[in-house]
Amino acid sequence: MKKTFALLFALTFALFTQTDSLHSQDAQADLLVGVWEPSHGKARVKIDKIADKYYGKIVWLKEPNDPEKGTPKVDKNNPDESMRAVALKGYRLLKDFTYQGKREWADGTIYDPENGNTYSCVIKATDDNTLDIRGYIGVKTFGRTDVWKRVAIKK
Amino acid sequence: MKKRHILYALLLLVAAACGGPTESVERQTENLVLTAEGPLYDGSNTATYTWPVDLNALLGEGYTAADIAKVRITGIRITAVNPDNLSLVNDITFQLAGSGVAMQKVGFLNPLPADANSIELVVADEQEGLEAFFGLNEITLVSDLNLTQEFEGNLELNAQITFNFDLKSK
Repeated sequence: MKKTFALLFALTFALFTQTDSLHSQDAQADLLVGVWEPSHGKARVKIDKIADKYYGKIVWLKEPNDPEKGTPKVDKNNPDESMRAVALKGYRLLKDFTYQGKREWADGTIYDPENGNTYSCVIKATDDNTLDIRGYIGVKTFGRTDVWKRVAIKK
Repeated sequence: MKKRHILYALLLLVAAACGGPTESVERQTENLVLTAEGPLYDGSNTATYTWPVDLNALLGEGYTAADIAKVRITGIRITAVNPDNLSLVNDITFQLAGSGVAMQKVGFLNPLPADANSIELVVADEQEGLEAFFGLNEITLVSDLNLTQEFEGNLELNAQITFNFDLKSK
């Protein structure tokens, strides 16, 4: 009888610690959710979770209007000509990121509206309010890292 | 070198000829409620709807994802059941997302015409791997909306979406 109780206790304990660890994993993954500012300070990007992946879109632009036309900026450098009138405000730059553990998100892409290129990308949170965003083509070694800061500081 | 190019072209032609026929299909969703959770501020907001994929209802009894060789969207029309809410939208970008499949931007309209209750989106020329969405149990329809004004509560776009697509079977 004692053995059965001990076994039950051990199983219950294991189940709780496992659930706890999963919750903690979820919390770590959702650390990415929020509004972030790239180092150039010209835009702010809101990252949210849709289904089981993370996506980031422009929610604020320092210069929202095209200086030549005076109209809201559009994605004029998109390689797909049919999509060049899409508004830049609301544009999804970061797509399809999944959490890999250890504060890292991968398998996603980042789009640069300044040249219309899309790069493979990994994101690493160096603390709760700082992200290293590394865009690359092919091999991670040959890429560029930008540091993004959370707009509303998480305490 | 020329010979090799001719050979490749011939191989492509043979491959194209071996595929099944391409069918133009129009399908309308039931009334969907695309919800953007408030409070919403003027500027960019997102409304999503999770659409269960029933291939038999969509393409016919016995149809499976393995039967699909290629899908290309040719038209997207959104007909609002509550056009008042559509008038709050300045522009819309429409995307498909799903588990294990890269998000695809398939259409947009910028700006929306005033007082419209039905809008025809501009469809992307470049589409890649859309057939993968037909192998999913559900597709998340993602609408990024720039609103014309701030909105306190949730914004619900009650709409029917009509998709036109070319479907090539194997």
